[in-house]
Amino acid sequence: MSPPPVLSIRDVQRLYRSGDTTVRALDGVSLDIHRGEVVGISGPSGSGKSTLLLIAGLLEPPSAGEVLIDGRRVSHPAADLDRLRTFRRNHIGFIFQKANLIPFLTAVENVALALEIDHVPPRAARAYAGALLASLDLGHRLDNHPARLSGGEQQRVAVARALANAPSLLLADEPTAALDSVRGRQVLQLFREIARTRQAAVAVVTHDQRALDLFDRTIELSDGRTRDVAAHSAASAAGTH
Amino acid sequence: MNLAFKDIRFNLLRFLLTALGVAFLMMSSMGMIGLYRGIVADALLIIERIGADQWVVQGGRQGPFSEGSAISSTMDRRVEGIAGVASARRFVQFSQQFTRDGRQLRASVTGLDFPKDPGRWIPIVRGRPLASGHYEAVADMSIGLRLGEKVHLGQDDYTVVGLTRGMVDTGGDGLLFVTVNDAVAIAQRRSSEEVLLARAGAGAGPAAASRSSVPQDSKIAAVLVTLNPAVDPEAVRRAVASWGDVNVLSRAEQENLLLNQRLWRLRVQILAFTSVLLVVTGIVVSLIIYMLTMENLHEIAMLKLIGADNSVIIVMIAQQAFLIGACGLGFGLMLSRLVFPFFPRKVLILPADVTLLGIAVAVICAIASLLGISRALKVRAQEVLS
Repeated sequence: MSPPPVLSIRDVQRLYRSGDTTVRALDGVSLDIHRGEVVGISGPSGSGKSTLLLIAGLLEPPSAGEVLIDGRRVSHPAADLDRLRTFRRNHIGFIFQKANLIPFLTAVENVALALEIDHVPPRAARAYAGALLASLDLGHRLDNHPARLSGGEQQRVAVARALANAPSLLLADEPTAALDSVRGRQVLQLFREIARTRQAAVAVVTHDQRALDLFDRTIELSDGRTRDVAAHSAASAAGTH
Repeated sequence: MNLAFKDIRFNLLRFLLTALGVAFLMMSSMGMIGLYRGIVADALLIIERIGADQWVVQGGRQGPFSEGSAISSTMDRRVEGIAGVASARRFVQFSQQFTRDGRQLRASVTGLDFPKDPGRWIPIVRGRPLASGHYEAVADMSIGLRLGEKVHLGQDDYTVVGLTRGMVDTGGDGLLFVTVNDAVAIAQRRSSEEVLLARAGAGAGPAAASRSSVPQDSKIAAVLVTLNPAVDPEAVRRAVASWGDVNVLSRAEQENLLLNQRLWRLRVQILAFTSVLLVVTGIVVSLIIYMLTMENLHEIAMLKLIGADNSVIIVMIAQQAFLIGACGLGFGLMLSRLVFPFFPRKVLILPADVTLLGIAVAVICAIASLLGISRALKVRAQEVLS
């Protein structure tokens, strides 16, 4: 029997009230992402990409449908998401357009914090965070505060923080939007590497059409619905070489 | 990882300036409380230092501090005749303004019944007590006189033979100790016109010349009574009071009269102002801590996103609040010790008051933390995206 998908979104709806009208941000979206898979989620502004990411990341409950992570039904319309904080900490890593690093912590402290929050002893947390950053070519920047790092370096620190607790699911919202095309591709290639070596599922919301070839497949959203699913065989090849 | 310390270290200047702002508020609060304590201490100073068990004052009056009092200049001899009285000293005190080097100085002239009382109870910091029955003075430094200096009072020159520090009257004027006889002479100084008017009013003659147009039969305000240890104070009081022309007050009664009669309005005024200042301090400190929390909302949302428990956020806000409070109190105390000695009136900072202020600051910080924490706990993790 094959393992369950890391992320399984089943017939999810998300409705928002706006005055007298109801806006359907997501309308019956279903999606499975497996281990080692990098999936792009694209679509025009207002198509529901970010809403899908919030629901997948257990930051908002669906109005209908359910979310399963590693086979566990964790989110549904009646779910208390605040009680899922520990689950989120251990299963999901987030990366955003802005690195969102804590400005008063150094690079290594930003990463170690994610571990300490998970009750890893400070010394061990710092050592692991240092090794993680070194693996992302930031070994020389451990003690720099975010303000002293370039945009690309900050984003790599954010990636390290997202990976610190070895989550099975990585969710990235426009992670390359603030980077130039070369650095943007480097980050996406990093995701491919992470998916391959850590067997994590990676979902990347992006506007960047130039990056689509780096995904295993792309899901396109339009008006809250899945419009198209495109497979990119070349991406798998790119990720494995 | 201590997030509060990390944030403070990163934004050290902001923290120091904030703590300094709180420190000035603390210093103001301490100053008001200290001013109150200083006024009380100054008021009670002479009563406590002079060491009298009972004060014999003018009949029907509660002098000499809460109202005027004038008694016979030989009253001390009558009092000494009462059984159980160890000693009786005449007391006189009045404000005097005089000129030195073209500058107006003020002093509270206080008479010592020399030689019975040469003023050994006076804490002299430089020089010596009175050694002569005339023309010597012991002055408080706050008056502005120097040791060995001659000062013209009444019609005579007085040499400053000793200096004290912090010996002032209820109004804050420095005490100038002279003998009772000299004090009476200073008080009875009259202008030539005054003498002429007195003569015209009472007819010419040598007896009239010595009288004043202003009634001033006696300048003695009170007799200070020291009792034998075994004597019943009430018995002495009854004996003296039975004369009818005098009133007897105990030391406790004098203190009560000063604090709860003469200084009552001033004390309530200062206490009321101190209360207002503490409320303002509370509001300002609360706002400072709340604003610091608001500045960190994005980081708090991020902490929630990466799965931090509420306790991590609560501890961070509470620690910062208490550190600001503690540093504000500490800096405030340091500033107080540096600045208040230069104030014209005594500002007395007592450890008990600092402790109480510390408790008040802790309560203020706790309330401010609760405000900040309640706001922080409402932050949603997805606000990181906004």
